[in-house]
Amino acid sequence: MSALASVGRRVNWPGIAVIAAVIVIWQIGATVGPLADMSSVPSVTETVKGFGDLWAANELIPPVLYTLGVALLSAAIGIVAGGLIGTLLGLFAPFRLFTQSSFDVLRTIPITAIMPVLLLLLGAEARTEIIAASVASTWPMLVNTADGIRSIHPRLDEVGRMFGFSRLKRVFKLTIPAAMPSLLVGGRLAAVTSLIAVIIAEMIIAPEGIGWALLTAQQALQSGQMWALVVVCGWLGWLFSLGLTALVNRLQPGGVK
Amino acid sequence: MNQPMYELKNVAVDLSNAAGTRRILEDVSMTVMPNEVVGIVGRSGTGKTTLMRALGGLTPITEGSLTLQGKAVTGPADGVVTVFQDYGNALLPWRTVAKNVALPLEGKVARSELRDRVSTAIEMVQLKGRENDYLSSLSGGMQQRVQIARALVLNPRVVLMDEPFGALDALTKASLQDVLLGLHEQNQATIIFITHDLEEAIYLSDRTFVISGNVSSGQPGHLSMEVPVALPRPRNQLTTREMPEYIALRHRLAEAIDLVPA
Repeated sequence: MSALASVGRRVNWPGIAVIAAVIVIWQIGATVGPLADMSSVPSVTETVKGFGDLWAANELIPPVLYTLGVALLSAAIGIVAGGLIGTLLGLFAPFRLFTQSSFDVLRTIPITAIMPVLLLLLGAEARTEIIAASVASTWPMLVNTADGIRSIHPRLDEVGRMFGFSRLKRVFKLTIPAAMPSLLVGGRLAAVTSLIAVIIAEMIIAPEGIGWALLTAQQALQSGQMWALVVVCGWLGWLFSLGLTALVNRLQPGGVK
Repeated sequence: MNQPMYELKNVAVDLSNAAGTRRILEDVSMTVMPNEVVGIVGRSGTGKTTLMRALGGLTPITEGSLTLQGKAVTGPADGVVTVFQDYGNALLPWRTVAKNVALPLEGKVARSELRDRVSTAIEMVQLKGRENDYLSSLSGGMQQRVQIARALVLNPRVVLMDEPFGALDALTKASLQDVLLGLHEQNQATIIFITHDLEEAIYLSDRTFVISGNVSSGQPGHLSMEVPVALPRPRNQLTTREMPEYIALRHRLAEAIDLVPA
């Protein structure tokens, strides 16, 4: 089989057809259709122009990189914190007994509701944004880690005891690897949550990054630029999940499902 | 006179759960000599697994004395390995066959020795060639062989087997029984296994105990019968099972566990 044919088979033609159809309908609807008079709904060509304007003014790549950097850093903090607390919750029943209900109440508070408070407490700085997004991404990691560890069959720990492993050795050789699928799910959710929280924080807390660019375009009534940024956010999310999936596949060896 | 491997005198075991404390085993006395193969056969709910866990040091005894080569058993002892029935929970699915077998030796022996012992153990259970496969690509019988190899890699004094072939089909079971007998000839370990299959008990063992009781209705498990199995070794799935002695033993044990309702 030729290389071209193999690429042709891997490309998802029906999926591309749907995207193409959406673009065509969007363009027609926004130029001659019922939405033609609404300035807040730009056509495809206006959106592409807004994209070009942002690019020319160097207002596209720097905010994207900033947002990406802050989101990754916050996700990393959230994953480490959530992983540690989740491990303690999963391993130690007394710790669970005393803290579980507090964590359950805290994690139901939407992070957006805490952002104004953090802004007052810590100021309109990147630090505040990072703290907000880290807290948001801690919860999914914490919950998945604790559940993952608690749901491991007790037989596995017995196997470790039978071989004379210390408690620490059992945790690192048996418990954590056994919980790895849950940890990876938690990590993926934490990263996605972090990206969402960062974009919101850029609108509410620190005037930087793609969230702020979006808000600026909206307030300047630059609907073409605004929609271009929405599309960029979509790409960012897609790239994020693509990268995470690749990472998860690397960390999770063959046999585990 | 040889020192016994295990000596149990009037052992009783209580287990507690949310509903309270319940006596699982009572007045269990037995002696197991080195290199012996001992079968314990009984119905469900007679405390078979609890007896096995007590021997392995995973469940403490409440009364009586339990010694391993003269030393009281207070926890999992060196050189005593249990092969569990639920290989799916007892093995590590994120590791390959070789890495599973290597687990008990990690950090204890030099790398080259570890490699040699792992490959010897894998060869003994006839899984050569599958070293780098993950467990999900192995059949149940093969996975149970991985667990047996993981036990053998330690050159154990005692191998405890908790219904080791209970989850396997009849043909796989028969071939693993022969694998086990072959291993016993080479390794000289003491083997104690529990089963609800009395033919398996006879086929494998030098001595078979019957365990009776009904824990859930308040009768703790106890050893109700001891039967020496004087069948010649090596044993054979066909000829051994056709011997008159085998059939007579089967009859005795079947009566002892009430196989045929009176």
